[in-house]
Amino acid sequence: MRVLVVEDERKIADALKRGLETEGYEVIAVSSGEEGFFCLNSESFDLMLLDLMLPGRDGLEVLQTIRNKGFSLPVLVLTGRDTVEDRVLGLDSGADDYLVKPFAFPELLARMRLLLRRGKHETEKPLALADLELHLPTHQALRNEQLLDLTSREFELLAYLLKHQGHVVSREMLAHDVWKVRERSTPLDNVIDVNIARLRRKVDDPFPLKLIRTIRGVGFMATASDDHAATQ
Amino acid sequence: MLLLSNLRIRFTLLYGAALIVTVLIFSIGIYVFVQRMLINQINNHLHKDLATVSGYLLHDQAGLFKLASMGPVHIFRVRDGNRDLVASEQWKNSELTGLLDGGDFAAQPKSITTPSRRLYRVQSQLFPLGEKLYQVVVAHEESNYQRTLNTLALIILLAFPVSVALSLVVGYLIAGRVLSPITTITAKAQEISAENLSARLPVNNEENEFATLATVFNLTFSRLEESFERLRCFTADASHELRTPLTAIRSIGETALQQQDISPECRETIGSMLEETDRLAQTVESLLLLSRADGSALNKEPAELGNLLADVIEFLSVLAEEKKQEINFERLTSLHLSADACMLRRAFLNLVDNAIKYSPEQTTITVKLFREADGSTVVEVGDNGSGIPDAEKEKVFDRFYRLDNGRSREKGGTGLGLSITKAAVEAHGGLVTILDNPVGGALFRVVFPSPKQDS
Repeated sequence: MRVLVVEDERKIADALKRGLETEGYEVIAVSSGEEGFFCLNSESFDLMLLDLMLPGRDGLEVLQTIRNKGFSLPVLVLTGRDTVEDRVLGLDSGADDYLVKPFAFPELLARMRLLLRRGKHETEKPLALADLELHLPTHQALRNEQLLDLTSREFELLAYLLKHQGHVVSREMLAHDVWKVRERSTPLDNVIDVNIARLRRKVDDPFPLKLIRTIRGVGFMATASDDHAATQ
Repeated sequence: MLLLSNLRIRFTLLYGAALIVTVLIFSIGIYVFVQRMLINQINNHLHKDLATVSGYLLHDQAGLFKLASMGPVHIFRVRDGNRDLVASEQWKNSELTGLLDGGDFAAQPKSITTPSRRLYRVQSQLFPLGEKLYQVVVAHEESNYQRTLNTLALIILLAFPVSVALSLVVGYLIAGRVLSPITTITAKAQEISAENLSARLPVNNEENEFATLATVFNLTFSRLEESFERLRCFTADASHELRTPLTAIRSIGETALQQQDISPECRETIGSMLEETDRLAQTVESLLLLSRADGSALNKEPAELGNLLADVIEFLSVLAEEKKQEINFERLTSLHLSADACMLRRAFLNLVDNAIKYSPEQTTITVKLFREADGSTVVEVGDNGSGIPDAEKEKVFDRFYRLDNGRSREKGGTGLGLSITKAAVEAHGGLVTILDNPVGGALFRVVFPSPKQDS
């Protein structure tokens, strides 16, 4: 998978390149819209990460040009602006998704996976991890063939973690996708922490193999691997 | 408005007083002048009469008797020593006889009142003729003149209150007219400071004091708007500028944690730094939210306050459960309003979260939505904590203010929660205050005025 990163902040670009390469992507990072456009014309990419605030021609212009020229690769926009107008403008100009700075790297990975999978009708993985099984239609969770007593919020949270199993899930992702809240706040963080703690009590406490892991400063991950280092 | 009408009344009274003094001086002047004129007239008559009578006395004594019965001089008497030589008919009728029998009593004209209250002006003169000394007395009835004077006084006394009343009415009307631009300016200025600072007072082209006043006001508004806007822009710009380095720190840290070959200590360090970065990012977001509320850049959509509160309570109920607290929601009314639901939700999220945070375990937190008699809608959030001292009640809404420093920082948060609540509520036309909860603890009261005043 080849990814084109258009980002003028060198440190962010470097970190993205390093992180994505660790994930197994092939990354070309450029620092202006013109360079990005040139790369796109000469090589082929599977996905583009585009910063909206660029020197010279700004991201939106680049995006429109790309779409007008008929490039159909998925574009994930990174923006420092966070107003509804900006989002609408970004999506209207042909972005497939957007992330507001400062974004969480795990969320970037999750969005990228989603964009790359789009169009390919993969059979959805059954939601299961080790001896934990989730039945989505009935909202039932079983571990070691025992029915777990979960609230609907806890079930959704567990399902979300399992969907991203092996990958870190950030608090932003939980806020957006499980709680459907746009902005993060201190109360929300507390609510997430309490729900994770409760989920652990029910899912992990009675069993020797712990499945829900906290990655300090980053987020949470469902994994059966005993490896202490967080594999993403 | 009260002040202005007071000014109007003061204006009128001042004007009235000035007019009263002027009219008074003028009236007295006229009265005195007329009185003097009349007296001079009588005195001239007396003088002439005296000349006539003395002329007859000295040259034609027979004519003197004819004069007494008929002639131009009506009231006179000529005495020869203590004996009357001659007295006119009218003198005899005038009751003056007994009154003027003294010596040389009226060398200058003099007013005399008879017992029957008739007023005469008299003058006498002595004429030596041979051996004899004659005394001539002439008199003029003064009552006629006095009547004229009385009529004048009556006219003045009647006209005075009428003119004063009239002047007060006219003064009041003029004051109203003069002050009406102030009323307009006040109303408009009030509107500007309440609604938007970008509006300006109308300045008419006339070169008068009110145009100057409006211009000065407008300059002040401009400066106010400018500094307000600058502050808001600064917050917004600073927040945007902070996002880029925050993104870099975060990306660098998170990608570093991806690597397999770093030590657990290193992992801890980076994790801890990322946590603080996250807190900083949240502070920046909160500041942006505040600048958005201050600038009233709201994304308004129809919302219902009761639903919003129920949503907030449901959302936070898990935190209350952890502390074995109950949240009692009394939903006695509903309020449909056009609101930035996200921002308003945040306002109440912070209030209820605070209540949970500061109430001890196994207590009840009350949230009450009700309507006041005046039509305003009230939300009260009551906790069972240690309450907030009166001196701190205003300060807790200040940005970055922390009540009891160490304890609240330990409980997390950016120190902006309540200022966000205040800004968000005020951006929606409401008002938030802190009272003492009757059962102990603090009671946060949010009031939205009735929609009638709102529109």
